[in-house]
Amino acid sequence: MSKSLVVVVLALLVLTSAMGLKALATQPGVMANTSAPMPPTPWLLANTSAPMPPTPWANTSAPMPPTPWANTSAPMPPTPWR
Amino acid sequence: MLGRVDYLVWSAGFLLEIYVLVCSVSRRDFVRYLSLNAYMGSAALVALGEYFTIQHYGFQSMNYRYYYYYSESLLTILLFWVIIQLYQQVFAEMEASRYIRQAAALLLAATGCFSYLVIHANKDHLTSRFVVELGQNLYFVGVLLTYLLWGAILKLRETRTRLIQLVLALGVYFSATAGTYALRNLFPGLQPSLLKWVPPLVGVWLPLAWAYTFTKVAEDARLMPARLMVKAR
Repeated sequence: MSKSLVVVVLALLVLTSAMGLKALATQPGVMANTSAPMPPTPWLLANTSAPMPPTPWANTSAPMPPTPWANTSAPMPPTPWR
Repeated sequence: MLGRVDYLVWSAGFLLEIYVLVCSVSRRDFVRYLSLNAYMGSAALVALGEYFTIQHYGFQSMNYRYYYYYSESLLTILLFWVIIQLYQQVFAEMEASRYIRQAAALLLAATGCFSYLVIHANKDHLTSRFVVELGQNLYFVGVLLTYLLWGAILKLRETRTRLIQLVLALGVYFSATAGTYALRNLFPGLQPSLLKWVPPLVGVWLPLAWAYTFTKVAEDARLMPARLMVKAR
């Protein structure tokens, strides 16, 4: 067996064993190379497969509610100090 | 929300990484342990980036999550390079450097392919999933390579103290983290109280052990094999 073939076989053997070790040791987990605090994986909380809810302000076909202070026909409330 | 202990552990790791770099440069070992220094320097830069990301966007932000996982994968690739360079040093006398480089490149490519095959069915976040999967798989390849390297050191009766200590520190680091993974699966209840502290502390262990090695152990220091010690008595 040539040396190159030995290299290939050894590399694949290491990869297979490492994946077996991973399957034994962990379910989908997290890495930890640094001392920094660990966040959850991005897609676990992002949940982007769910449809995005419409934002209220994007609904431009709906009429805009009148602002209270624009209703000039209504009587002005008396100021407390009067 | 991060507490004082989080910041304390984090800053300790950062300072130790800088210390290893400074120590290595001042003792003119920078090139000899190039991959190790590149890893320490990158880890320090990543820690700085993490700090600024948290300060700007917050710990719960998506920005921090993406930054964390992408940078961790890059660091794992660098750690893989560290292990390969340690292999080259152990097998230097056998002139196997070329074969080690070939095997490392093949292993990296095969791990990349395997990672893609695992996640390619996921249509959403394909790149992010690939990055995290590759990082995790390379991490476990690193675990196995470190154990094999330790076996080779024992078999070849390696006597270079510094090399042995560097590999041993790496072995402890990988073993502790892999043990944490396993314990988390066996006892999920321990995660919030106990196990969540292990990865950050282990993250401090590696630069601490390497800092001790570069400070206290000279490059030409040798361990006396037990067999010789018996004869000497």
